Amino acid sequence: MKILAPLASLEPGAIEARYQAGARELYFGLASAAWTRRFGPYCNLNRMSDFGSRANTIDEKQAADATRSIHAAQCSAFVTLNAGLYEAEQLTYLRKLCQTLAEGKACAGTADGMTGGAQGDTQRENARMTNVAGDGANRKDAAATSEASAIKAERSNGDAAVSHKRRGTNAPDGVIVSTRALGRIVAEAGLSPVASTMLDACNADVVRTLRDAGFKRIIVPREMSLDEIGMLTAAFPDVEFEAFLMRDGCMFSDSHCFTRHLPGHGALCGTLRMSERRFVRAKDAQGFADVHNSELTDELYRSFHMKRACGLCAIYRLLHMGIAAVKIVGRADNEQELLDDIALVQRNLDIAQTAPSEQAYLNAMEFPPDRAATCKLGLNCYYPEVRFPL
Amino acid sequence: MRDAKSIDGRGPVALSRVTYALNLCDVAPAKLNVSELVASAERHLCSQLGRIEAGEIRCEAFNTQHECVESQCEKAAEWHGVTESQCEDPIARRGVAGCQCEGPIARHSATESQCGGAAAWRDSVESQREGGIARRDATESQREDAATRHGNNETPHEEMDLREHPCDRPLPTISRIYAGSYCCERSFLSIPDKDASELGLFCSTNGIALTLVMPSPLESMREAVYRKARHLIRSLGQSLDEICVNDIGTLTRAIGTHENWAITRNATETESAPSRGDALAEAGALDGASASDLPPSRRNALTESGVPVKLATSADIPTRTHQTTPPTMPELGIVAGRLFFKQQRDPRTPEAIMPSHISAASLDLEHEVGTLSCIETDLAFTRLHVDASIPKSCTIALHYPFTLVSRMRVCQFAHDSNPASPFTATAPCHLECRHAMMEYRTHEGARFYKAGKAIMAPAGASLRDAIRALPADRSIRIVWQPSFEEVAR
Repeated sequence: MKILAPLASLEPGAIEARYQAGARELYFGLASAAWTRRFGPYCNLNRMSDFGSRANTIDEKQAADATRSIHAAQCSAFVTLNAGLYEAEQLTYLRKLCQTLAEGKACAGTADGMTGGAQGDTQRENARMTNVAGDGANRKDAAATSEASAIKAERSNGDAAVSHKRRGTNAPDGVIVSTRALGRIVAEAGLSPVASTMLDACNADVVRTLRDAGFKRIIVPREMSLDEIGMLTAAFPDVEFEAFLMRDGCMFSDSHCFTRHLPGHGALCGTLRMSERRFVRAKDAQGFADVHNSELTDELYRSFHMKRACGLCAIYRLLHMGIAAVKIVGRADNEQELLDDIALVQRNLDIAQTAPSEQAYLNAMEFPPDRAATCKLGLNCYYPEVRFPL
Repeated sequence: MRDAKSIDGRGPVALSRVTYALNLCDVAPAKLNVSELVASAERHLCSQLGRIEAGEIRCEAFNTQHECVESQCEKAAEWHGVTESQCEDPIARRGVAGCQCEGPIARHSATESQCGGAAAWRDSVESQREGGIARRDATESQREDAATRHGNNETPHEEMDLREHPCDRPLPTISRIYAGSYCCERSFLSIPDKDASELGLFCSTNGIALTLVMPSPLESMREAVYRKARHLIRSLGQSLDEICVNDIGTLTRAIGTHENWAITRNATETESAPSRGDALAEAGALDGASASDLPPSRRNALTESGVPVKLATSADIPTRTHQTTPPTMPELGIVAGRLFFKQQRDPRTPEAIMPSHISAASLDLEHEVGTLSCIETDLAFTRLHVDASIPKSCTIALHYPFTLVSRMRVCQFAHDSNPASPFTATAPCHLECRHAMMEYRTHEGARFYKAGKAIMAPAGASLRDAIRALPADRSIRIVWQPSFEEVAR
C-alpha cells in the first residue's frame, strides 16, 4: 500500500522531500492559460482550479518535466483532470492535452501504465488474491505475511524496478478523471484512467460500470466505511482501490458539491460553519430535549467535524484489505504540515506491516501531535468505526 | 445573491408545453394532507407565474406575501378559476367556476386572481368530494408524454380578448407527484408501503402521475434500497410511470433490468420467492439484445436516438417476460435525476454562473441518453441549451424554488438523538430531518438551508424568468418543492 501525496509546485526539493517522508505516488493538477483563454476564468480544469496558483502551478508544457522529475525520485506520477463536468468542446481540448501528456513517453511503459515495481506488484496481487480466496480467520494471517513480504520487497527492490521501467519515460502513470467520457479519452491516448471520487464509486453497481468503462483504479468516496470498502475490494479483485487517509476533510460530498472556492469567498462548507444560523422546527420537535440535542449536535458538527481529517487508525485494515494507495489531500496546504503528515503515515504504515493484529497496531500506532483536538468523539475520523464502533 | 436580471429570460417558452410536478421527497406522506399540498403548490405556481412586472397590467390588490390571493375586480366582480373560496356568505369550501364576493374578503385559497380590468387566468373546474378529499376534475390537464391539454373549457373573460393579453397562459395544475429521496437512503427506506399505496390511490383518483425517486446508495444499503424500490413500485400502483435515478450504477441497472421493473409491477409472487426479475437483476449479465426485444415505448426512444442499447439478459431466463405477460401497468420511464446535473451553482458567486448545455457529455452519459424520458436540472444557468444528442422526446425538468447546491457526506440531524454518537454516513437515525432543518445566512447575505443531507439555496430568479431561460422547443416540467413549514410535522 503506497502513500499518494499532493504536489502543488516544482519548487526545488519538493519532490525529494515527499519521497524522503515516505510518499511513493505524487499527484498534481495543471494550470493552463490556454484553457482559461478558451473557456473563461470560471471553467475549471480540475477540482482545485478555483484555488489558482495555491494548488496549480505546473502548466501543460511542464507536465512532462514534472513527471520526469517525479519518476527520477522513484515515485509514480498522476495528473488530475477532475473538474465537476466537461462539456463536449472541453473534452475535445482535453483529448489533445492527453495526447500531449502521453507523448511524454520516451519508451513503452507497462501494459497498464500504472505504478511500477513489478516484483512487488506480483507479490501484492498474490497476497490480495489470497486474501480474497482464504477464509476469514486464516486469511488475515496469510495475507499479512504475504502482504508484508510484498511490501518489503517493493521498498527494497521495487524502487529499483520503478526506476528501471520509468527511465526515459515522461508520461504520467495515471490521470485522475471525473467523467467516464474523459476516462475513455485518457485510455485512447495510451494513459491509465483513475476514477476520481467525483465519479462517486459508492457501491458495487457504480464500480462495475466504471470497471466496464475501462477504469482499473478507483478512488472510493470519503463517506464509505471500512466494511463497505472491503466489500468492494473483495468483489472486484481486478480493480485497484485508493482511499482517503489524511487532511482536508470536507463535510460535503465530492461528487455532489456544486459550489465554488473562488477567492474572497472560500469554501461553502467552511463558510457555513461561521454563518448566522437558526433552526426551523416542526411543532413536535420543540421540547427541551429536542432543542438541546440538536443544538449540541450542531455545535459539535460546526466546531469539530472534519476540521482535521485523519484515518491513521484504519491503516491496518486498509493495508490488509488490499488498498493500493492511501491519499493525503491538500495541494494548497502548508508544505511542512503536509510533509509531517506524510512521514506520520509512513511510520504508522511501518507499524501496521509488522503488527500481528489490528489491536496490536492500534496499541502501537503513533497519533497525530494534536490528538487532543483531533480525536474527539471521532468527529475528525475518516473511519470513526475503528475507535468508535456503532 | 444573484441578480434576477442576470438570467437570460428571452426564451418564448409556450406555457402550454410546461407541466408541473409536486416534490414530496423526504416527507412523511401519511402525516400530510396531499390534497392541500397540491392545492398550495398550485397557488404558489399561480402566484409566481402571475407576478406582474413593469409594462404589464398591474394588479393593484395583488399581494404575493400573503398565503391567500386577494383581488378585487372592479368591473365584473367575478372570479375566474377559483378552486375554493370562503365568502362572508355561508358558503363553505367548494369548487366554483366563479363566485361573486361582496364586502370584505377574508382568507381565500384561490389559485388564480382577476386583476383590475384584466382577466388573467383561465377557468378550471374543481369539485370536492365528501370527506374532505379534493378531487381534481380539471377541464384541462397536462401529461408529460403528450404535453397536450384535455377537455379545455376555458372561458375568456367577457371583457378582454386573452389572446392579446400578456398573462395569456394556462392555469398551472399539478399533474405529477414525486416520492422517494434524492440524498438519503434511510429516508427512502422508511417509506411505508401502506403510505405508498394511499398516495398511489390518491394519484389514481385525481389523475396525477407518480415518479419514484431513488437515492444513490452506499454499498451497505444498496440491496436494501433496490428491494424497497421493488416494494414501492408495487405499492404506488398504476399512477407510477417513472423512476428517477441519481447515479450511473442505478441507471445502468435500471436500463439493463428495465423489464424487471415491469415484471415487478405485474408480479404476484411474494418477496420471499425470488422473482424472475430479481434473478435477472442479480445475474447482471450484459449480453446484447436487439431493439426488437424492447417494449414499444422503449423501442421508439432508441429509434430516435439511433443508438443501440445493451440490455441485461440471462441465460437462465430464456423467455422475454413482456412477450408472455401482457403489461397491466404503464411502462416505467427512466429519469436522470438532479444529481446528474453537475453545473456549478453557488449563490455567493453569481458571476460564475453561465449559459449551460445539457448533452450526453455534460451528463457523462453515453448510450443511456436514448433511454431517458426526462432529465432534471437545477437553476444553475443563465440560459439552458439542450444538445441534439438528447432525444426530442425527453422532457427537461427544473426544480424550483429551491436549488440543490451540495450534499452532506454525513447527516447532522441523524445524530440529534445521540449527539455523542460517531458521525458516520451509515449511522441509524429516527428521521430527525423531518422535524427540523437549518437556515443559514452568510456574511455576503446568501441564504442556504440544510434539510437532511441536502444543502439548498433559494432559486436566484423568478419562475417566469427561469422558464424563459429554458429551451422553447422542449417539453418542460417544473418540479415544485414545498417549504419545510408546509410539510414538517
